[in-house]
Amino acid sequence: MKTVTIQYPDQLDEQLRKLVAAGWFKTPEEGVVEALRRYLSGHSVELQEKQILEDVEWGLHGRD
Amino acid sequence: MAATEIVVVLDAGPLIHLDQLGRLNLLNDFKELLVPRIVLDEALKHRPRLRLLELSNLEIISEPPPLPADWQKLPDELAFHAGERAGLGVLKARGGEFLLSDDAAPRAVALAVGFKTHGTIGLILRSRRRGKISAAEMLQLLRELPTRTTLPLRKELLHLILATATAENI
Repeated sequence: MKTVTIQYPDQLDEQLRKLVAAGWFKTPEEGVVEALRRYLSGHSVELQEKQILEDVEWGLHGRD
Repeated sequence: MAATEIVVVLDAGPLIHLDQLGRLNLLNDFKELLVPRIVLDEALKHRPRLRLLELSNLEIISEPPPLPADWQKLPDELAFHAGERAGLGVLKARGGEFLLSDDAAPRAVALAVGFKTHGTIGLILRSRRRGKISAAEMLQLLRELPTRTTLPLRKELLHLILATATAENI
């Protein structure tokens, strides 16, 4: 596990704390880790673009 | 052309992105749309006015079945959240054919365990192939992806998709 100290805008902090209060995350730290994980997961560029190009082929020529 | 007999499980991405385009109704071309409640909650967090009434074959799954033990490894390694696990569990339990998602990781895992996966862009092109929208509508929806939706898409890739779709003349 790594420890990182960051500064981020008050507006983001307010949104994050609302999510914690609503039960989406146990702590603000958990929310930050989830946001980072989602970003990295969604930005595996090569994999994502390969999937999109396969989708184009299916969309144009698929049989289902 | 009548809706196909295909049963699909929805992740939040296509719900959000098609709603942003005002075309959730493109999902009605499937026999059943299965959405875990936790996935729907995530979509509603981003789109509080999600036009669910446009979906005629929607079934919300309040208590998705757990993943089989032998399917746990990849989701654990990729730190899947509850919604992504729920989607896979519903696919398995309900005999779904497609996972509709715009996220790379859930799509890769669904493929690895034997399901087809498609996303918003494929759905738009399929809708044209199946005569649900005109060629002009298809191209307009594709062009509007960067401005009307939050779907991450590199400009050059969009140009390639537009050129391919135009050249195919479907």
